[in-house]
Amino acid sequence: MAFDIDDVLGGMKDAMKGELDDDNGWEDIKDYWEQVLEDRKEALRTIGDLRLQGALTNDEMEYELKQEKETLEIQFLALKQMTKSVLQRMINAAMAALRKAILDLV
Amino acid sequence: MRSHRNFAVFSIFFFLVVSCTVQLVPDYDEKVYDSTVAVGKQVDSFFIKVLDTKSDQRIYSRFVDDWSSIEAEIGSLLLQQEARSKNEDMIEATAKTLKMWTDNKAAFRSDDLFYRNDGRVKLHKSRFADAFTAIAKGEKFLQSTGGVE
Repeated sequence: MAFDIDDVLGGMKDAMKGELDDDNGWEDIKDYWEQVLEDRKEALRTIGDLRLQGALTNDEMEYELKQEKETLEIQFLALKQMTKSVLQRMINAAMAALRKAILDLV
Repeated sequence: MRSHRNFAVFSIFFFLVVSCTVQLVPDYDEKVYDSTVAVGKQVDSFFIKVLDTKSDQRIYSRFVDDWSSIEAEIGSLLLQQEARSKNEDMIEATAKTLKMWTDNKAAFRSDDLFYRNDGRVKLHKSRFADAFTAIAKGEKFLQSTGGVE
């Protein structure tokens, strides 16, 4: 049996595309991203309200904004891990397709 | 001679392809997930306790044991995260959460008025819930998407 590189690459591409389906996590990542934006918007609104009410001084507001930045970074790190997890599946699906093509050959 | 070399190259390539899977993230760890949820719950209970205390009685010394106990729990979670390979994102996320906690502890210790306002307590309660949800979500996601089926 001949080794047709175009067939193999096509198979790898199809395998990766299969992992792009919504069921494989991308929709969850999108939903969580929207939730993160909503969470931080709500927190910033609260900080603004507390400052307007005089419950926070300028220094305290700066402190709260710094913690907001930290929280956003924590949420981004979770999104990064989730994205890497899906990419891992895509890459390994492509590798599995390549492996199958080679095993079929020998 | 050349055919031997081609065979050797093919064999190495074959071995790499057959044996190799790419790992970008750690495997799911149920213990880490459970620990994250448990610490998150402990932090939430702490803020509920603060809210249930009259605002003029919210002084640092009243809560010192809670601060230290939770700091130790987040530190323990960080150790669990650090013990895993390919886990740099959740190590950083947990370290940042611990730093937020110790920063708040230091601010409260130096200013007994720090949590006098309910709005600020609720803000911090919600913020830590977001942080622990992020870490738990990142972990849980590994269960549904990790590995090759």
